[in-house]
Amino acid sequence: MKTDFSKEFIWHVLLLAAVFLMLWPILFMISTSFKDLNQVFESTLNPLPWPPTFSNYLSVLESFPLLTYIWNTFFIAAVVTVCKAATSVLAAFAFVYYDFKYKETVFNGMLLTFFIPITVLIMPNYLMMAKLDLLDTPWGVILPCLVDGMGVFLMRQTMRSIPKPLLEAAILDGAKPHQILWKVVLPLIKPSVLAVSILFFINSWNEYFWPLLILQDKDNYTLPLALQMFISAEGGSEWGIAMAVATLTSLPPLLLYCFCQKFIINTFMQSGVKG
Amino acid sequence: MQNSIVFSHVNKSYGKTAVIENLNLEIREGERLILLGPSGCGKTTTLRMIAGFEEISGGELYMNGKVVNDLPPGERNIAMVFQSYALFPHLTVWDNITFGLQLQKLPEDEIRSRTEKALDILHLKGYEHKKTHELSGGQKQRVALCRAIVKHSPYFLLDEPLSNLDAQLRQKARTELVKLHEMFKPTMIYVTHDQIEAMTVADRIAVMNRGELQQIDTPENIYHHPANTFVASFIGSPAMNIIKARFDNKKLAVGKCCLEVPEAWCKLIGSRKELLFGLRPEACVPKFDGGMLKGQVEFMENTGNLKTASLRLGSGENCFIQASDPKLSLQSVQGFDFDWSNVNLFDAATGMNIGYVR
Amino acid sequence: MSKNSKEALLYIFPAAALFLLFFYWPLLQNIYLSFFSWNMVSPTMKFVGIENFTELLASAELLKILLNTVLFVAIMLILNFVLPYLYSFVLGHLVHRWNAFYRSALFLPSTLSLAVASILFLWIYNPLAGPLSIVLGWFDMESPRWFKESYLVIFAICTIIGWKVFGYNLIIMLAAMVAVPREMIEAAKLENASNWVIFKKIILPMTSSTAIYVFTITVVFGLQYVLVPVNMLTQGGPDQGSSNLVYIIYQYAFTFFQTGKSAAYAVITMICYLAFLYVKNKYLEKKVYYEN
Repeated sequence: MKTDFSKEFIWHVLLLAAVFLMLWPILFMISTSFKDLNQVFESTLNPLPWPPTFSNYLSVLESFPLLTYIWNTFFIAAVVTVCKAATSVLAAFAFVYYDFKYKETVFNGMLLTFFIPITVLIMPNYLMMAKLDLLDTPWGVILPCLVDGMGVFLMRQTMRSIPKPLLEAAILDGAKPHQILWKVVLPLIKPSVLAVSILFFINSWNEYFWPLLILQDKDNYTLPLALQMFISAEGGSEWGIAMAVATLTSLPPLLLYCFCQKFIINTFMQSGVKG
Repeated sequence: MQNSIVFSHVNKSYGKTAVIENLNLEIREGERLILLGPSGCGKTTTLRMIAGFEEISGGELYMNGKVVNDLPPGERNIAMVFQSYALFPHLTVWDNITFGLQLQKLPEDEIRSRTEKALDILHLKGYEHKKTHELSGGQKQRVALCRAIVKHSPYFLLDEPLSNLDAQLRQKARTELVKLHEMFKPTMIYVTHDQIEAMTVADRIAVMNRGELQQIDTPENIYHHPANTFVASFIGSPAMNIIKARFDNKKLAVGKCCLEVPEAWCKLIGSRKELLFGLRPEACVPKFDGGMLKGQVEFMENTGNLKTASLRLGSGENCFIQASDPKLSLQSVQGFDFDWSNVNLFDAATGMNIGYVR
Repeated sequence: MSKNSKEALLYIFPAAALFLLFFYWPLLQNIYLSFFSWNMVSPTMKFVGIENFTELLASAELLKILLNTVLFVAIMLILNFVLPYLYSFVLGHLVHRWNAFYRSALFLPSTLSLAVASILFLWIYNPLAGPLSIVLGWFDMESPRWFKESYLVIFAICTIIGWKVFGYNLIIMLAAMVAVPREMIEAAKLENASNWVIFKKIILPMTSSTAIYVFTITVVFGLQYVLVPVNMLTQGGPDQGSSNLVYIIYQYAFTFFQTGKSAAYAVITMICYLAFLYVKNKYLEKKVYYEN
């Protein structure tokens, strides 16, 4: 065993260096959020500020409608997640269960949207939201985000892996397509649906660009947008507070990741297995 | 000895689970040794230790008289055929076969002549420029063999090389393998769980179970003189009948029958009381009236060339008997006779064979 | 498989309608808008033909934007394609301990918002008091003003994207790495092949389809990810030094309020993307070995 390790030593050094570069900024963010003004500038590199202070979090709570931000972000992310999952599952079912003209073309058309850069779409979509009078509302943010090309692709991959005889047995028993979807397919792919949903949720929670355009009133902001407010004072002294908001913004994805880590990684790994 | 492989007190464990325990085994130069055993018995691990893919936790492995525990696989000069064949799908047949030779930077004509010859032997001429996915299972297997033999290495390892072939091809491949070995005479270690393969290919068979070597001997001896009840019941289909027996006063009580024991056997048995009586089904001569051991037919099988019947003995134990006479009906068999020279007796406590009267 | 296409339509409709409305309609809309001069608010739009395009193609700005874009892509390909590729080989085939730990730790930043990453690195790169300036101070070096110098700003922003995306791409590559059968690596090891030879002759060809996928998303998404730090930290500055093909569309629409130019840039960007995808499909995919 010892020889094994010494052979791998150099690789471990390389990997640990990468791990350090990846984790240190996160640690730094969290530790800075517990530093007071003096500590921020005097013990910048110290990862364990002593005594830790909660003043940053308190002042965030006092001067910002934090709970409103959390709710706004959560509401948008939740609706987007549920709808994306639903539209993806339904479309994937059609692709797997039915045979129809131009099936490949339609599928490729959906997958291709995955590669369209967002800025190409934002101006026309913005104008559309303006026409619909949805500017500055969560629905304006939500509406164009109800489908996902990657979601359709992943769901189709999963459904394809269901053994055909299972579906055929259900057909022989006289099940209608919607019953097959609901009673056979969905229970079988539940883990994948859940994993993809977590993915959708994290992405939507983290979204910055599109909400930035639609939401103008500060009370409608999502957490990533709220972060923007700390940048205007560049070189300023609000770092502790900024890091506190950053930490709070990161908390839900981090927690989700910690609890469903294997699950999420496996889904991401699947998403890469592509023909 | 040159090009021999010796395991000396070799242990292998993953964390706390021991996979191989105190393995002592000598593989002679140029022989065909088969590692045989049920799945999970440690045979593949043993092979992979020779190749250098598995670290050795304790003991020494000698090749050509030198300890090779820490020698990397590439420096052991070994040719190997993998169970999955491990052919590179992005390369042509030719490039697959010459992969190692090119890495060795052999001269171009040397590579060419070796490969041409090997292709010829294995009937692969004309397939050189195909990709491996265009080949049939049998062809892939031959390409894998080809890649192994062009290396001209003194050791030839095979990990269940025929398990992915269908039954008919397997028989043909078996004989080809033996021919191939006769041609180059490398030291060959062959892992399988198929006893027919083992019996037909081997010079010697090493039977393993639960990480321990059970017996190493010629196929002949493994079949007729199994060292213990495991080997007895693992080899042969149906396996050797093993029936509880009790020895008392020169008499052996087997399945509610009492047998007179020949004098030579009595000496061998000595003071043992509880024994296991082992007899191959084909050593049982069916009797329609009486017989040395009596029983009733429970069910029968006919495989065309052989007829098998299962008898229920008086003790409730079952015993298979086999007959090859096509006219014989086993329907009304009452019992069977046997020759004492075909008997194996095992110690009931240890399961070890107590020895033979020759 | 059922041939009832009317029923199929029912299941496909929600997704298809939304895709058409919010993805394909805007593409057409862009083409339409690119022929007009408009400021988004005035009630009248003036038809100008291809003037938007001619002006744009004649401007020095386009060259700068293209150069920036190429620079962004090149750096991101190193950080988010080449490095994860090599690391996934190390993680997939060269180390046999703590793999799960490495995987989880390296993936962690991918779950965070780019907005968080941007503000975090703004502080890390702060030239006066940021941690990096302190570390540079140890070596008697003065921290440059990362987000204020041309070219340097592109590098700084790419490192933010690198930090966020490295782990994600690593995991995708790793999936392809571990799909290479262990026996094939062992077959090569028997021939005394070095790690480098194994990587070059076996891993590279056998993982090429996933590699091309990662290559594609690195280019395509990389430029999108860049939007967030650029918009939060530099707004395209200094002097358009961190703007690129994707960001400039936003700038023209929402900073300069010239929808025509914005739409024209959108059309050009889309053409560039399609050209990229076409070239990729035509030339790269041919050289690829696919399992099935």
